[in-house]
Amino acid sequence: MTRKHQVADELPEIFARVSGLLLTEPVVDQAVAKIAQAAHQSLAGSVGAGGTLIDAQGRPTSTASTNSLVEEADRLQYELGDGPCLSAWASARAVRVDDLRDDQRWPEWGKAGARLGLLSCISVPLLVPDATGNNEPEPFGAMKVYSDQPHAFDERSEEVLSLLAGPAALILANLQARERAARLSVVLKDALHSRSVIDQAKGVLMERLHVTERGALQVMITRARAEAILLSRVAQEILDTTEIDLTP
Amino acid sequence: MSVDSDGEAQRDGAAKAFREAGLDVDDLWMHYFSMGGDAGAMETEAYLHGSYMLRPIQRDLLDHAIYELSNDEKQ
Repeated sequence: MTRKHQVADELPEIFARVSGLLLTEPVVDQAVAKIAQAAHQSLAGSVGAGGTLIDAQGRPTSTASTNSLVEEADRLQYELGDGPCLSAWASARAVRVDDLRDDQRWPEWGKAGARLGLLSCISVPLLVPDATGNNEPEPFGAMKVYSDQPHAFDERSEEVLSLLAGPAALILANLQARERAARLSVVLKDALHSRSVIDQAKGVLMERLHVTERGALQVMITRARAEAILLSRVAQEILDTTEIDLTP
Repeated sequence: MSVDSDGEAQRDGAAKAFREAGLDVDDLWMHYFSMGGDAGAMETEAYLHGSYMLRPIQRDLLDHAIYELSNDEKQ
């Protein structure tokens, strides 16, 4: 097999990763909203539920919830930089707050939440299994349920919410995969463009200077390093000059 | 100097520059590919580990890809 064929074998794999096989964002948001709704309806005492994706810096990136009260309580957590959801995400464990008014772990958030009428909550991490199976599951978000009563939830509620968080995690992980694929698609498009420009410029120089392919590349590399510019820009300039040369 | 020893010297230099720049091999391969490189990602990695040899023009391209990524402030 020649080297060209080896590259040709890898390209379909790259394109498969950027293809439309993955779920679209509105579909994912709807599905998570439905799972949040299911959590809200299955847990007695719930006044609202939601799911949030959290990036590596602890910032929320995407969210779906049953009502604006949940969103408001979430927003407070991320503003304060601490709270049960962030804690569930960071520790990869379920976190229960029995009374927001006198919780010692997040007193500021608890008091603000209590003013919204939220008195207890549970947060469970959204975990995506490691693809290789060699590492611990990776937390990438949290699901939460709130109640307007203190002590509304117990260990059993934690179990139910954790069970619902499983499928929610898979759906949300799919959304993240799609975002990565979208970024890869942009990189690949740029790479193919730059590749074509450099190839064309190489051909122009081979013809103009009567040099080999390697010789033409050397000319461009020498110029790129001397002028401290990218090879693709040198190539573009060569092509632009050619256009001017051909103008009558 | 034989063609092979030229290639090996260039390969050693590339491997050293790659290690010193602390580059990610996938990023390097994508950049090399964007310049017209036609060796696969696995061949490129094997070359940098000294267990595979690339054609002269591919070695030049990879050298320059490493150079551009380690001087990425230059546009």
